[in-house]
Amino acid sequence: MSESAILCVDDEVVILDSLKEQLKRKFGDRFIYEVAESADEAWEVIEELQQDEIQVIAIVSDWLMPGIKGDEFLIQIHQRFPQLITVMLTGQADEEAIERAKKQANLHACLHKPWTEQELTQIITSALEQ
Amino acid sequence: MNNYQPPTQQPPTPEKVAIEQIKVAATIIDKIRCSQDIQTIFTITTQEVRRVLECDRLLVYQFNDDWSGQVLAESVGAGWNSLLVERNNYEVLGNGHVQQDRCLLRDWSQGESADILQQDSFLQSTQGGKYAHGQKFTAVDDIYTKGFPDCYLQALEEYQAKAYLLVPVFQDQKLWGLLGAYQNESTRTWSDSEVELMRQIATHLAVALQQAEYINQLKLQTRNLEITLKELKLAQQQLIQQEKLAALGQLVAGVAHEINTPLGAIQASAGNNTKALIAAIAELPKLSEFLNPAEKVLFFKLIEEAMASKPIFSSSEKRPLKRQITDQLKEYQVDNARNIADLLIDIGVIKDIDSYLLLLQHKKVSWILELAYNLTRLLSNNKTILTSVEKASKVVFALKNYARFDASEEKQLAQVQDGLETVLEIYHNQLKQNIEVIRHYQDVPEIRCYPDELIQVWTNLIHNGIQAMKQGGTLTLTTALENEGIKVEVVDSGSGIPLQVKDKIFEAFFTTKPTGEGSGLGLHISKKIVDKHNGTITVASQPGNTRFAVWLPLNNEQ
Repeated sequence: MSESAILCVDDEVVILDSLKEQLKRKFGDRFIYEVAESADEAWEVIEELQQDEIQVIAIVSDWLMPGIKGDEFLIQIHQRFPQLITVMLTGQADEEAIERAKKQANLHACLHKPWTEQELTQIITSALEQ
Repeated sequence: MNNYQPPTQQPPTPEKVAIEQIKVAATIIDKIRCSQDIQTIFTITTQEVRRVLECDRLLVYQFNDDWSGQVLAESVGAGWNSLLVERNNYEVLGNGHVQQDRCLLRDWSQGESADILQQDSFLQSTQGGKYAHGQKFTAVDDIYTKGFPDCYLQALEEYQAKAYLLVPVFQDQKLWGLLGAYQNESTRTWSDSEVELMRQIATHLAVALQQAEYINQLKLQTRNLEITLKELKLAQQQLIQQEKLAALGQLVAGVAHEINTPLGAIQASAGNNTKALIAAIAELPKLSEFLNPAEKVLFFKLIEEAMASKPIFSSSEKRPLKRQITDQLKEYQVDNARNIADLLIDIGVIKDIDSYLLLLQHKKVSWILELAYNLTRLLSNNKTILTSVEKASKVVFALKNYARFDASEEKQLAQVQDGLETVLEIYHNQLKQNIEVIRHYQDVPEIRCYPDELIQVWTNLIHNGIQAMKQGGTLTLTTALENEGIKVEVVDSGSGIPLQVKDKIFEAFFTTKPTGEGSGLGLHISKKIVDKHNGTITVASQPGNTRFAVWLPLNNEQ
C-alpha cells in the first residue's frame, strides 16, 4: 500500500506541533504527518519517506526560516516534485515572496499567522480535491 | 626767595592752549579708540571736541554713495538750532532750537534722511568738494569774505555759522565724511593747533569707525552663526529621531513575525485543546468497558509517565526515535506500527515501550492511545500557550524599551546586559537564521546611565554585525570590568571593515550600505551617546573579526 504524507516546515517547534496536531485531528490515519525545522531537514525527511515508499503530497512551509526562505524552498520543491501541493505559512506578509512562490512554485495558498484550524484544513482539503 | 606766583588772570598764551589741546586730543583719541560702539564714538567726538575748541557746534557728517549726505552726530551749544531732530522730545524750542548744550545722534534705523532738518545739496553737487581731491582741511574765519556761492551761504546760514573748520574723514582712500566745527557767535580765526587737533581727531575717528564697523560685522556674523548652529542642532535632533524611526521600521516586519508566530501557536493549541477535551470526555466513560483493572492501572501509568516527560524534542531527534519505536512495534507484531509510534511520541512515551505491551497489543489499541493522546495533549498544549505568551510579551517589552525616547530623562542605575538582551530579543528572528550568538557576560555592577540610549548603541552595533554576516557567522557579546569601567564588546565574524573607511565610520552620514539601507548616522549617534556617558567607543577590524568595544565608566556622576 502506497502511503502519503503531509510535511510541515517551520523553525519553531511549537508551530510544528500545533500544525501536526491540527492535521492529525482533522485527517486522522489518512496521512502520515512529518515535520522539519528547516528546509535542509525537510529534504532529508522527503528522502527518508521516499525510501519507505511514502509519497509527500503536501508541504506547509514557513517563510522566514534559517538558511533559505520559504518561497525559494517551495520553488525548489516544485521543480523536483511538480505534483506536490505547496502552502506557505507566514508571520509577515512579504508580497513579493508570495508572488514569486505563486508563479514559480504553483503556490496553492498562503496562510497568515496566526492562522485558524479551519483555514488550514480547508486549504488542504481543497488542494486534495483538485 | 619766594617763587610763588599767583594764578594769572591773563588768558593763557597760544602755546599753552596748543599744549593743552594736544593733551586733550590724546585723551579724546584714547576714549574714541577704546570704544567699540559707534554711538559712543560719535558722542565722545562731538562733545569733547566742541568743549576743547569752545565752538558752538561740532558735527559729524557722512557722505552717501551719491555724495548726498547727512549729519550723523552733533554737539550744539545752548540757544542754537539743532540740525538733527530732537528725538527724545525734550528741551526743544521753536525751529529746532535747543535750550541747553546738547549732543544729538541720528537715528540710524529711520532711514537715510530721517532726523535731518537741513539737507545739504552743495557737497552733493561738488561730489564731496575739494576734500575728495586731497584738500586736508578748510578753515574759514568769516563765511562772508570767501565769495561762496549763494546756495552754500544759505546752507551755512541755516547752520547759523559765521566761521567754520572742516576736516575730511577718510576711510581707505575714500572720503567717508566730514568733521565740522562751527563758530556761530562771531567770526573766528582758527589756529594751526586747532586745525591739527581736528585733523588728528578725524584720522582716529576714521580708524575707530572702521573698527566699530568690523565689530558690528563680527557681532552680526556671530549672531548668524549662533542661529545656524541652533538650526543645525535642531536638524540633528530630527535626523536622530528619523534614524530611530527608520531602524524601527526595519524592525516592524521582523517583529510582526516574532509576535504572530506565538499567536499562531496559541490559537492552534487552544483549538486543539477544545477538541481534545471534548473527545476525552466522550470516551472516558468507556474506559471500564474496554479495559480490565490491570490494563486500567497500566493506562494511567502511561499517562503519568507521559505527563512527566519532557514534552518537546526537536524534529531531528524525533525522527530516529520514531523509526526505532516503529521497528520495535513491528517486532511485537503491532499493526500500523508507524502511526502508533508517531502517536506514542506525541503522547510523550519514548522509553520502556515493552512495559506497555499489554496496551499496545490490545485490540482497542487505537482507542486507548487516542484517549491517552487527548489527555496528555491538554497539558502540552497548555505549556505551548504559556511559553508562547511569554515569548510574545518579551518581544513587546523589548519593543517598548526600544521605542521609548525621552530627551529629558535622568540617569538611572541599570545593568548593561539587560540592554544587550533587549536588543538580542528584538533581533532574535534575524539572529537565529544563521548566526550563532555567544555570550561572555561577567558579573558587572549596575551603572548610572541612560539605558534607552545605550540600547540604541547596542542596536546599532548588533544590527551592523548581523548585516556584515549575511552568509552566517558568530556574534560574540562580552561584558567585563576594565579600568574602573565596564567594557562591552560586540564581535562579528563578518567580512570586516576596509582600512580606508575605518576612520570614517563614526562620522555623520558616512555609510557603505546601499542607498536606503543605512542613513550613515547609526555609529555617529552611537558615539555621541557613548560620549555623553563619558565613555569611549573603538573599533578593530580584520576579515572575519570586527570588534567594537564600548567602555563606560563605573563612576559617571557628572
